Amino acid sequence: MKNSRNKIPADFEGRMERLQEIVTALEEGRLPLEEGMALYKEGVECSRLCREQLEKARHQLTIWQDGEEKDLILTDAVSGRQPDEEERI
Amino acid sequence: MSEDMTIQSVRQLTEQLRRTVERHFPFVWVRGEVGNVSRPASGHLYFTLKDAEAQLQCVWFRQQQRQRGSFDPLTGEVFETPPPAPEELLRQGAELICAGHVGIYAPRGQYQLVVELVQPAGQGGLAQAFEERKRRLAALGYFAQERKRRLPWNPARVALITSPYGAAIHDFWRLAALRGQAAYIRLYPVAVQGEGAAPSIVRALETANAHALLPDGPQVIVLVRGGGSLEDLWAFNEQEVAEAVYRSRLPVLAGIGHEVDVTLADLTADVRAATPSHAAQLLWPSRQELLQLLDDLEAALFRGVRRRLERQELLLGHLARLLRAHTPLRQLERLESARSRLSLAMQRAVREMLDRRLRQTDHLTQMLRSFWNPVRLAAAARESGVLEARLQAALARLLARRQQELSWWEQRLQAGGRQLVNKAEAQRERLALRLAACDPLGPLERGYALVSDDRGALVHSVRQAQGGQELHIRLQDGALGVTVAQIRPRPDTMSAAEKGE
Repeated sequence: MKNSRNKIPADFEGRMERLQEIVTALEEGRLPLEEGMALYKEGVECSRLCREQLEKARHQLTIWQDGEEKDLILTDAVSGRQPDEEERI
Repeated sequence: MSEDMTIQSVRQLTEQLRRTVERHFPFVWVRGEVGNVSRPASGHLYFTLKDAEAQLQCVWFRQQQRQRGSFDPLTGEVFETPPPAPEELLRQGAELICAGHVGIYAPRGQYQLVVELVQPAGQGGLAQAFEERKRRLAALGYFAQERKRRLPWNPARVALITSPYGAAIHDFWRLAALRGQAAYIRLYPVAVQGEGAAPSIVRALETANAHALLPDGPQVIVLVRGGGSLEDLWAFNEQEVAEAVYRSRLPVLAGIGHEVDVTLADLTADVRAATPSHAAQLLWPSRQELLQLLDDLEAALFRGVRRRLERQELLLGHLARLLRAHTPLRQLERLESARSRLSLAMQRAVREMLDRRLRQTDHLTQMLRSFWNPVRLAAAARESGVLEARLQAALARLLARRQQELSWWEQRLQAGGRQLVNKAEAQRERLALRLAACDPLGPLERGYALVSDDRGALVHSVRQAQGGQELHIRLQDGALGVTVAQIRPRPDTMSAAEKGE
């Protein structure tokens, strides 16, 4: 396994993967103690960062128009239904 | 029907029924025979479709009667001869295939088919076209299960292809807000129905795939559209759209229409969602689920470290005990105790050996004393003298007795010898007498004679002699040579013997 201490990935999947790696490594229990403790700290940090990320998670929506990217904010919940459906009842 | 026990108004119940029915039959194809056609001033067409066992009320609203004109609104095909007008299609007794959704008309409390398309049966309608195209694409392997790719788990960058104005984007966004990590969703706006929809969808798919090659490009394409009529969804049945989905390097998640709608784009996509909301659910795990996963991982982390620490602690304790047991002082103590133990053992062994030797010596000494006792020796000497004297006396006596015996036997031997000689002499005399008595020449003294031939053989019978034969006659004092002059045998045998004499 990679042993890049203090190099926690920046993205969520990377952190989750790292966290899973760390758990597996610790469960195998073949590491020297100090390395294990360092990994544990790193795992806790990964977990904390992931949790923060999730708690603050807001998707960002953009629109690709005329060859460039623009922010898009959905405001009006436009109904896509056909008028007839509403009309009948 | 969550409120079973409450009393509902007719309108409320009807409304529930309407929702249920519309959800389950958003688009159906029905085949049947036309009857009861009526066309009021509104321009809507009302009729029934029936077969041998059932009939179905149908309504074809004026707005939906798009079949007037010189081209097919679904396929864009320009007709050489315009299709028949709706009222012409709906001839009494005609066999038709109608497409539309099932609804409930509350004022009359009846369910009905809200017709969108009408085709004469057996003419090869849209349904057949769809089926035929589906078969062709299936033969090309478009829907093959083995080419379906998995969606990336919890993607961070998503290309969303749909209309910015439709219900689909809102449904998708609403569900997405509660799910997954913070993701960048880039909308590629397209027309989802009408002319130009299919090419715009194809372009969007190509652009999204091109962007995937850039550093922060999308990881997955989501192609969604809200529910609608068959006509509305038709762009997603176009071959070019299916091809673009098939070619996509990025995995495609499609959620088009309602649960029952299946388009060729849906079938070609790697993953098919029932609705746009469902697409969001398939794309991201819920945040709760992710948080729970984090909790689990944290617990596993802690467990792993604790187990590790416990094991190390155990090992440490063990080693410490071992270390204490091996200090030089303890070592010395152990050696000293071993030494004293051995020393004691050695002393004991030596003592035992000496004792054993001592006992042996005593025993031998006693034995020796008992053999070489002077009293016993004197007694033995005395005894020996007596025995010797007795032996001497006995020997002398024995010699004397044997001497007597010898001379006695000598006398007896001489007497016996004499007696034996006397007896033998007497017997010899007796035998000499008897021998003399038996002398063959004895009878000659008494006058008998022996006659023999010249060979010396005795002549016993006259028959042995022949006339003129020379014979010898022995007498007591000599012999006579004679010649046989005459032979006179006795009448009996005895006469011969007499003659011989």
